[in-house]
Amino acid sequence: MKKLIVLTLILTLKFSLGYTQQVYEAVYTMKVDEQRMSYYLEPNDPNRFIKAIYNAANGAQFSLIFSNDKAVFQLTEKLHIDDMKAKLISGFLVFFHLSETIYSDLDTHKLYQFQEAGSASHLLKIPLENINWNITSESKTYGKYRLYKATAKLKNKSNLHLTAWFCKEVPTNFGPGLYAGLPGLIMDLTVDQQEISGLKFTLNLETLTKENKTISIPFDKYKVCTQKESDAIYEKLVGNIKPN
Amino acid sequence: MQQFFLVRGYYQWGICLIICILSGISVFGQQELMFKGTITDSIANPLPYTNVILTSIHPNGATHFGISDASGKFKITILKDSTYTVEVTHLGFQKTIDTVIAQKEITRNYSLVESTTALDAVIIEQKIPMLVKEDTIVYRVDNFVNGKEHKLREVLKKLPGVEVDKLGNVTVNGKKVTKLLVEGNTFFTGDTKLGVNNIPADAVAEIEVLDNYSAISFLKGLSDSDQMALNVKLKEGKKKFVFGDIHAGLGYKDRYLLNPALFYYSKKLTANVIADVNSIGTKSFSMSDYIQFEGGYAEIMDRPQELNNLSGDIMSFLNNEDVTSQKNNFGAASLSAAIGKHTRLEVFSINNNTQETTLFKNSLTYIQSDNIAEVLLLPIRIVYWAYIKSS
Repeated sequence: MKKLIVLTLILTLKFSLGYTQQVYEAVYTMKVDEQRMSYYLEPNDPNRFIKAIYNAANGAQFSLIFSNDKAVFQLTEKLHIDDMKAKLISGFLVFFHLSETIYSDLDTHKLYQFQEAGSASHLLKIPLENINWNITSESKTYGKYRLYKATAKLKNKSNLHLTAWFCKEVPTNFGPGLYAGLPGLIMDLTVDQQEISGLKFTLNLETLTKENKTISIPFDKYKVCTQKESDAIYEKLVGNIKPN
Repeated sequence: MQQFFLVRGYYQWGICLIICILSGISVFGQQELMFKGTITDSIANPLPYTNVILTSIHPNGATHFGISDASGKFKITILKDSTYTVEVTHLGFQKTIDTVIAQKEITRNYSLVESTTALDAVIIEQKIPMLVKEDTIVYRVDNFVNGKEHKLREVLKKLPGVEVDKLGNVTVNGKKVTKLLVEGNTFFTGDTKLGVNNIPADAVAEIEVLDNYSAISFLKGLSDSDQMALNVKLKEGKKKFVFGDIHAGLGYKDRYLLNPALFYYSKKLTANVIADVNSIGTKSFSMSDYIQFEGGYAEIMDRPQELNNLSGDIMSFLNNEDVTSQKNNFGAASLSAAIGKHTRLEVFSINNNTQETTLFKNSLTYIQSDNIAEVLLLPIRIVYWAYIKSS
């Protein structure tokens, strides 16, 4: 019996040692298509709010921290990023059903979007969507690595066209936010809403470094909501603003 | 008639087109097959989220991929009669490569071997070109240069906010740089001129401008200093370099000049040799060099006895530029070696032997006056006159 306990102890120890998580951080810079954004700008009456959103979102940096089974995609905490700017950026991301922080968990096949609703914050739980990527034979070099082009269409969400360049040498299924599921890290991504009022942005990889971080989803801090519950919260908020 | 032929012509092309399309369809209508299997690690545990990528060996062929599920199983649809290269990849495991010829349904199982350093090789670092942190500015040089630069001077000129004058004095945002460091160690005397004109441009990776510089790092922030330092960070693989140049010249009537300056730089050992032998009246070691050597004006002002030195023989000797002939024999060598983690040994010697010939020509004009006696006699006469008057 004692031997058995020792054996299981050794085995579990080996197991835990064997799965020392390697965590990497990829930093992306966002570029917003100015021409598309100008659809919202009326020529005679320059809408300052839209312009402010464009200025905030263009050049914003996002980091994707990923391990084998978990990933966090979030706005980089810059030294001089102010609260207002962060809010404007998340305002831009709403157009793409994204939020400023997105946790992905492969174990439970779920995504958790951080949402701020009034004074309360919560995590919106949505199922991990399988994107039907089509890998083309096109490739390009980035530094000393070969990137392969993959395209996908998401019909249900405002006719999104995705163009991703991924690197097989970094074998992770994660990518920026909702856009994942390729057999390698997405290094360049173009998200294009092919509609008249559609917007377009690209994310380009700046750095990829090995980090000494652990990824944990803050379930203890925030309440987890379903889509329905989240919609109810927002409806209530909107109702507060417009009483009629 | 002609028209009929024309129509006929189109008709033939049409048949051709239909045949082409049909043959095209037969290509697209290739049969599909299943490629499946299980992926485990070296101790036979199922390995979820593993990528299985099948690339057709044809350059224009399709690429298929699948990701293993929680039980390590994968299923990929592939085309019949194609040959694929299979790559099985997983973060933290070694890549496995296989080949598959699709003729009937295939089941293959792979077991991956762990590797701890698999990804270290693919780290990408594309740093931000310029970083401002409190009183430190970091320039990543690669973002500013075009590769045609020869010395550090040309590199500095391209950085925003940095100016270099003819002599090699550097100002950053209008403030003069008082100390030059290479990899955190004082470069020779710390004078910017030497480094700016001599450090090869292709060895420079980063330039840090440190305002309120203090040699003792924990005093930084406590005291405001006027010092501004420039720290040159070298590229990986360029941490050792030798540079230098030799000026040599020969002229009429025993005029000669030999001025070698050689530097060896590495992290552990730096050695510098500068010599200057000339007879053309160029000072090798000027007054400003001396002050720099003593630690700058501010240092000297703190030590009153130094001021005496400044006004003494050294001063008149170093400042004297009014000579008929001058022979300079100047040699300076410095050695700085790391002898332990926190200790550095610094040895330097500066020898200057200058022979000067100075010619003084005095021309004295004595004005001889004839009525000098008259002048001498005048008071006597006055006395005599007074005597006569009184009597």
